[in-house]
Order: sequence, then structure tokens, then C-alpha cells
Amino acid sequence: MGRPVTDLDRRLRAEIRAARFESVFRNAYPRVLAYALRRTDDRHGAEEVAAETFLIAWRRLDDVPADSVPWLLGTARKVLANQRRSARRRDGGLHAPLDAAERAVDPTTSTADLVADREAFATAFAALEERDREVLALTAWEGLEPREAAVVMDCTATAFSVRLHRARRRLMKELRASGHSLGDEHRNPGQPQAGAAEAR
Amino acid sequence: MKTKDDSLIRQLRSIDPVDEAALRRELLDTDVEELLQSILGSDPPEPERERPRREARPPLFRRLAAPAAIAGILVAAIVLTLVGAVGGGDNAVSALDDVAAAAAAAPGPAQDLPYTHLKTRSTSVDTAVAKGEAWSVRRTETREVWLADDRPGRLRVTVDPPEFVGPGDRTAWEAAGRPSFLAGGFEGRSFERPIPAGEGGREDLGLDPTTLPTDPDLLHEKLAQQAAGGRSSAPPGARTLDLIAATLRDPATPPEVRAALYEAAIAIPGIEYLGEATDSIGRRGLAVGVTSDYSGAASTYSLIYDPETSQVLETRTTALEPPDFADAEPPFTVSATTYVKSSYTN
Repeated sequence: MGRPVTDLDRRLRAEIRAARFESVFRNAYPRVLAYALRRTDDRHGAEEVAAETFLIAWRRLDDVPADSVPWLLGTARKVLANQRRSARRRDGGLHAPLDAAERAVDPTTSTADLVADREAFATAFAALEERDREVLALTAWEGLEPREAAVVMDCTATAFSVRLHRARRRLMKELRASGHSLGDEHRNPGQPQAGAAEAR
Repeated sequence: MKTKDDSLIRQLRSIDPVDEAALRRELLDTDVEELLQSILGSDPPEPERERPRREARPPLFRRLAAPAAIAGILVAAIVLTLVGAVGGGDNAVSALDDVAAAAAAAPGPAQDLPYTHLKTRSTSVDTAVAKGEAWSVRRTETREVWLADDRPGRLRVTVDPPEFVGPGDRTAWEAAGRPSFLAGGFEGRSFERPIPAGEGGREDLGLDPTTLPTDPDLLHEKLAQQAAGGRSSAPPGARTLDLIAATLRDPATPPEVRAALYEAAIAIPGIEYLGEATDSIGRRGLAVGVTSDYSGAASTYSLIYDPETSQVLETRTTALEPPDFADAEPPFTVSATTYVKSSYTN
């Protein structure tokens, strides 16, 4: 039989928990805030999302895995979704998520060509459905691997890879529709390339 | 499968509305500290709880010895022409996702016809050893079955005359004194026999499609577990690929399961897009596969399919190193199973 749990045990356990949470918080807060900023149009709203996310993490610390960032971003995603539902009920609509990309184009700091490119990308990106934008953003902006992004999207890594492939294809289609040249690097990887015969 | 850091992703980064590095610099320690302390001072976390134990996995399909049957099927010597691009995991994702879409859109099985008609061409290389000499022959067998639950079926088998793989194999056989080593000699043969109603046939097919999930990940897990249970010199990924092929060729497999089978192949470790390929009877398609030295020598285990109809055409093992059992140069087709026909018929 083990010895009874004492107040000291409880205090130690609480301190260990607090130390773990502090480590998670200090490491991941900027990433969670950045995630929220990319999906809202005001700093204050993004900070609220980040705070709510970490409050949930504190209350459910046992569920937070060692690789905490994907879990936290997945939680932030749900917090954002709840906020949007509330906003829709309150005032009948909110800006589309991830339309912050359109604000990223700043003609005063770029060359004319680069601005044109970025504008084309921002426009094509904004034309995609939310799920496609989220999949691409998790990869390009949050820099997550499929297995990590899958945690955020609450799906499997394979399903995420398939969604990413489809989202990329739809983005390329939007870019082509806008007359943007994709260059050779964007050839459909499923299409054979001449001259690669007998490469095995 | 690693996501390629290609220029599309780089371009997307250029429109990232947030500069994370600047954000980190901009965050005031006092603000962050205040938030941290307010969270730590809030309601205590939920008490630590006992996590429920995960239940043991349900028993796997036991009714079929499919992997062993499939791995044991003799495969054919074919002229493989790889003329397309080869590529890594991303290309395989693209290719398999495309064919999965084609499979999902294909018409479902026409189950009002009584017979399942399957025609399979298999080729293998058999090696014999005598008096210090070793030689190999290529054997090809075509097996055709008509199966029905409520009436007698029929089996027809045609065995082509065996052929020495290369001139060195004949020389070795002659040096050994031309011993008899083939049960049927060097002659071809064929035979037919009836099959009692409701019997036989599953050895030409994969898993029972009515029991398979349509979620690609669950399906892959199931296939991988089933493949792991078989005895084979092929690596687990190749056995999974064989199982996928044999299940795809079942005319009873509905479109949603066929699509899931192709998508499940995406999860096979090391799966690659191998480009265009031609099967042993001249049909052109695309190939995916895995390369491994699991059996002791580097080999590619591939699945060839028709990207338009999503029909599986062939599975093949290709040696990438000079074989020590036959007079042949790599790439050398060690075995193949060609799915010539799979349909319902009268």
C-alpha cells in the first residue's frame, strides 16, 4: 500500500504543473498569437484568442502533449470558430478568416514586380475556400509538417497531405485564371516529365 | 511524406500578414508576464485523472490467407518500360489522389450477373541447383475462373512452356547433365475443371470489400496489419500494395472503397510515383511502388494502374541489382501478377 497523499505532495504537484505550464506558455505564446493575428483583423481580438487558448491549456494541462504547438493551434482554431459563431449571431457576419493576407501587400516597401506577384497570390489565396486557405496557411505561415498540421485540423496526416495537395492545385488554378505565370516549378507533379525515362 | 518546400509555399510566405520574428521582439515582457500570472492565478486545473485504457484491437480478418496467397502467386516475366517521370512521396500523393478521384467517379459493380469472371496471368522465376550448377527458368501461368454462389463454376489453367532466363542458365543446366527438374517438362499444358457452387475463388481476390472501411487511414491500418501477418520475402509495404491490388481487382469492390484503397496507398512508407509503365500484355498505365533491400537485394515492388478507369493492371517485382540466381541484367522482372480481366458475366 502506498503512503497517503500529503499537503506537501499536493503542493509539489501543483508547482510541477505550474512550471510545466509556464514553459509551454513562454515557448508557444508568440506562435499562438501570430496564428490568431493571421485570422482576425484586430490585435485585441487576437490577444483574446491567445489568452483563451492558454486558459484552456492550463485547465487541461494533462491533455497537452510534449509537442504542444500543434495542440495549442488546434485549440486556438476552435476558440476562433466559437468567436465567429458568436459574432455572426451578434451582428450578422464577420470578415472571412485569413483575409489578412490581402493586407500583407504593402506597395510602399516592395518592387513593382514583387508587389504584382504578391497581389496575385493574395487575390488567388483569398478566392479559395476557408479550409483550403487554412491548410495552406498551416504549411506556409505556421511552418507545420503534415503530421503537426493534422493535429490542428483534427484529421490524420494522410488526410492532411491529400487536402494540402488539393488546396495547392486549387490555388494554382486560381493563379492561372488570373493570368499569373507559375513557372516550371509548378508543373503538376503527377505529370510525367520528358527525358526522365529509365531514371530508376 | 514530407511537404516540399517549393516555390508555391515560398510565395505564400511572402503574403504572410504576420512577421513572427518582429512580433516576438515587439511583445513586451510585462504584458506576457501579466497574462501568465493571471492564468496561473485562475481556477486550478482539472484534477489529474486516470486515462481510460485503450481497448485491445479487434481481431483481424481471419477468413483469408490473402497475403500469403498473393505473395505466393507466381509472377511473370515482362518487358517493363518505364518512360515517365519518377518522383518522391509528393508525386505519389498527386498520382494516387488523382486515380482515387477516378475510382470514386467510376460506376459501381453490376451485381445482377451471376458469375464473377477473373483472368490472371502470373509469372515467376524458378531456380534449380544440381551438381554445383544453378540455373533459372521463367514460368508463366494464366488462370481463369468463373465463380458463382448458386451454380457450378469453372477453372481453366494454361501453363506456357518454361524458358531459360538467359543463355547462361541453359549452359549451367547442360553442365549439370541436363537433369529433369520441371514436373511438366519443357512442354506447355492446360486443363479445365468444374468448381462446385459457392466454392473457391477467393485466392484470386484480396480482402472482402464489404468489410472494409472507406476512411483511407483506417483502411491502411487494416491492410498493413493484414499484410504483416503474411509470410513473404517482400517488405511490408510491398505486401500492403499487393493486398490493395488484389482487393481493387475484385469486381464487387464499390467505388468508395476503391477510392479509399488508392488513398490508403499514400500512407505506405516510402511509396513513390514511378511514372508510365506497360504491363505484360501491353496495356499502358502509371506505376507507384516502393524500393527496398528487404529481401537482401534492392528491388522495386510496383503497382501499375490505368489512371483513366482506375483499374489495377499489374503488380511487379523488379530486381535492381544483378541477380545471383539467373543470367540477367538489372532492371530484371522477377515476378508479376497481371490482372487481365475482372468482371461480372453470364
